[in-house]
Amino acid sequence: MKSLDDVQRALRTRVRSDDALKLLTTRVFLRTGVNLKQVRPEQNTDSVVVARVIGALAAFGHPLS
Amino acid sequence: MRTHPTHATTPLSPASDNTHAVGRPASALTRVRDSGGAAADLAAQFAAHGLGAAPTVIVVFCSPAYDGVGLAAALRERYPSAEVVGCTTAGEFVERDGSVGGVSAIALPAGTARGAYAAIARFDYGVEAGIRAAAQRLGRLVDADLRTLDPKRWVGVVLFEGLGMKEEEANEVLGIVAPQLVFVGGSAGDDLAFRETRVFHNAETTNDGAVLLLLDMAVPFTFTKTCSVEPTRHRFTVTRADEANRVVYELDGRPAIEAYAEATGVAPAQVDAQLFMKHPVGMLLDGDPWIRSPQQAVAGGGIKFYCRMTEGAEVTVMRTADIVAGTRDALALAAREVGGRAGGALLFNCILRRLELDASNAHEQFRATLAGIPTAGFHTYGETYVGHVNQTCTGLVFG
Repeated sequence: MKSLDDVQRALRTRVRSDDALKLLTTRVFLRTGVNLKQVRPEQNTDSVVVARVIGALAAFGHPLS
Repeated sequence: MRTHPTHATTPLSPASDNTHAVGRPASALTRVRDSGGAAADLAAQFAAHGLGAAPTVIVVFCSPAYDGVGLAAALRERYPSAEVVGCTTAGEFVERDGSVGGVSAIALPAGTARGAYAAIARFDYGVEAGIRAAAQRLGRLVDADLRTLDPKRWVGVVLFEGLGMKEEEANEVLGIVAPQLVFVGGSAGDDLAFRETRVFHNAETTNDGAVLLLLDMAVPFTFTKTCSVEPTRHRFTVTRADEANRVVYELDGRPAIEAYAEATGVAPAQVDAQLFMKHPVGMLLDGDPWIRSPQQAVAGGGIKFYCRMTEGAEVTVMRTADIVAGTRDALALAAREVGGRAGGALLFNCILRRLELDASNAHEQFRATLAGIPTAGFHTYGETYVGHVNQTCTGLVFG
């Protein structure tokens, strides 16, 4: 997974409920500063940021790899 | 995260008086200083305001001058079926009165919360260990893994010790052990002494931990989060931070104090607590600000905040607006979301908002926004809604 767009797409296929997705993306935002629903261009392919978000998702019970 | 569809045209008003069979939420505020006398006064007010049934839970917010455990014990003598949870404060309020140095409380009958389960999380062996242990205890009490609880039926309330700067980590662990549940709450205060804050549950108390309360709600509920701020045009990226100590050293690669001072139109030497209070910063998520309040300038050009700031996060300098109007709008929205008639509320209002209400002599107007809804609240050292925020009023509003 090389970009936050990839992460966002992968997450969407795993979390079907809009409410659950909203709660999860809020948690990720508060932990990492990344809004997965509106990815900032300069963050999209930043490998450090992508890794941080994947790590946060894994911590919240959504490992993507 | 909402439990029922909204009803856009219904007015904000308290629930009608048709709940005698199951009782209804009742709030109380007392200034009686001894625990037994305070409990008696609270109980008399609960009865006078229609509690009408044995409560499943009583939430108590008290000045640090009180013995919280003693107060809980006195309440449990009167209501043995109730879980009693609470914390110390920097001021307390109900819908009809407010105090600094008193006690506010709300009692919820089974018609509102059919079950209430609480546990203290002690942080002696780390935040994660404490939250996980408390979550396990709660899981045994409700006979289910917290991960499986229906978020449309269950809600979490969390009261943190307010001086240890552990709210972010604790909220993150809550997101791991109960990912579908929303926890709302606040950080305990101590009347601005900044010496010791406490949380308590029945006969237990700690000054390094949190109390977790799970409510099995019998009525619709929703959340409120209002911060009464407006964005300015000044936006920065946090480029260097000491996250554990909540310090930001650089914004857009510049000393944070310089960038902040320029955005607020003053020289760095003129930045003071008043300016910080008027201009918190917000992380905007879909336009919704999650406020981080600056606390003080620190050596090295940094700014210490009351909330953790993450490197890479984008923050907008905000300006405070009308607290009373903002709260009124937020509570009206919450009431609509529970069907138009709010039956009660728990509110967690930032100490910085209290100080602003003090300065503008607007506490009565603030309480008027509650429109007679049975409410217990306190002025906090930090607020929780999913995560830790500042300069905000968060709350649980139920039908």
